[in-house]
Amino acid sequence: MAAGIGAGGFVGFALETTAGTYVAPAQFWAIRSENIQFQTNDVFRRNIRGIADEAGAVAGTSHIEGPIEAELFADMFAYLLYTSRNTVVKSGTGPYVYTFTPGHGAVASNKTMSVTVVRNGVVHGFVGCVLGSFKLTTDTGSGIALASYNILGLDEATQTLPTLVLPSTVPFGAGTYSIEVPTATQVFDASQFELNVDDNVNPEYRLKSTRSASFIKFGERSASLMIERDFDARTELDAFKALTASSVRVKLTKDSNNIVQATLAAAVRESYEISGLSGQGDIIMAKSNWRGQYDATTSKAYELVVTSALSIV
Amino acid sequence: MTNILNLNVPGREGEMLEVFGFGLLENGKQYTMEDAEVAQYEAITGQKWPEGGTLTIPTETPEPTVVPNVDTPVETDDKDPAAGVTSTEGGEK
Repeated sequence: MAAGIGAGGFVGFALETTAGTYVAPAQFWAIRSENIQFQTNDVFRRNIRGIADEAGAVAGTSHIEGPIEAELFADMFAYLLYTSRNTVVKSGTGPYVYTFTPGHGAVASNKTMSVTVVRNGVVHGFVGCVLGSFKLTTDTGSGIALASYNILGLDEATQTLPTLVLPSTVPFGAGTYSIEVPTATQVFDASQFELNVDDNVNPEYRLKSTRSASFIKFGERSASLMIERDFDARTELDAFKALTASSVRVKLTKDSNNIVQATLAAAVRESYEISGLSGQGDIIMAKSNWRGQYDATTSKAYELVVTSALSIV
Repeated sequence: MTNILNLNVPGREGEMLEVFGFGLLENGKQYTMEDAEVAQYEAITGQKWPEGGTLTIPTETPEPTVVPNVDTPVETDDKDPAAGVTSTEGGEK
């Protein structure tokens, strides 16, 4: 087979009816990169038996793991969140509003998905996949919003080559941001943000007739938000020193069909880093690193609201 | 034979979608394709047009593939007991 380059590849997604049973992709989005791999815990036998070499291999447990990086699309984000540990409330008749509230169980709250990756014409069907963690950020300079998704799954097999069908969804760029500290109070001096939600997922293996993971376990969750702003007063510093909790929100609005809003209801600054006097021409900035705490009033540590024209499920 | 393209991507009713090999098409509609368009699709995608004459998008989920038992250990050091060899590994000659 001839050599191929990344440009010829693509990735498709489909929510599964039965976890681990492949479904041909129904949705496709353009990505920037992916690196989903079949990972094993094979044993290369090294016993004490009079020789110094490895003496064969025994197949070990296996699972699927890897990142997908893409521009932030509201429909893609909502679709992948269906496989995270969030309960979903869908409302509206188009555009649809998806409200994701973090759950606390050991397994994905709603669905698993099949992820189909085509590399140089070779089709990988990854099944039983969930969204274990994700990061939303912005590309400093251009202002385009970016997303990183960490995918874990159960198994991989070859599948039929699908036909690529791409939506006309446009990503969020400069001029679509509203950073609110606290919620509803927009600030205009932020240059960067990074939202991270990590459910600490791990493959769980059980003794059975195949080597693949039995399910993906969701563990301790952490939600954090970094916001970098101009430093011109000590208000934030004092709040950091006092461990003052506050709501904080990042909202991106492209149009009425494309809105992403992330809110930490009761966040506490874990650190507050002032850039210092680093050079004559350097702007003095400060990075607030917020940690989302469980908010007893709203019964959640964070909330994601996504508006999209795509009707999911 | 008439070549039919069924474009029915769930959740995207009425949206214009970019179908690789065909350009922008309206989701939910059925298109009759000329032989030349089919040939172009096959050339661009490297896929054969379905023999039945109808291409359905998204691709239908195929029947599950029978996966061979991958749990069989790979043993490379076992000697054939029938050969009567007890042990020869690691011994000084």
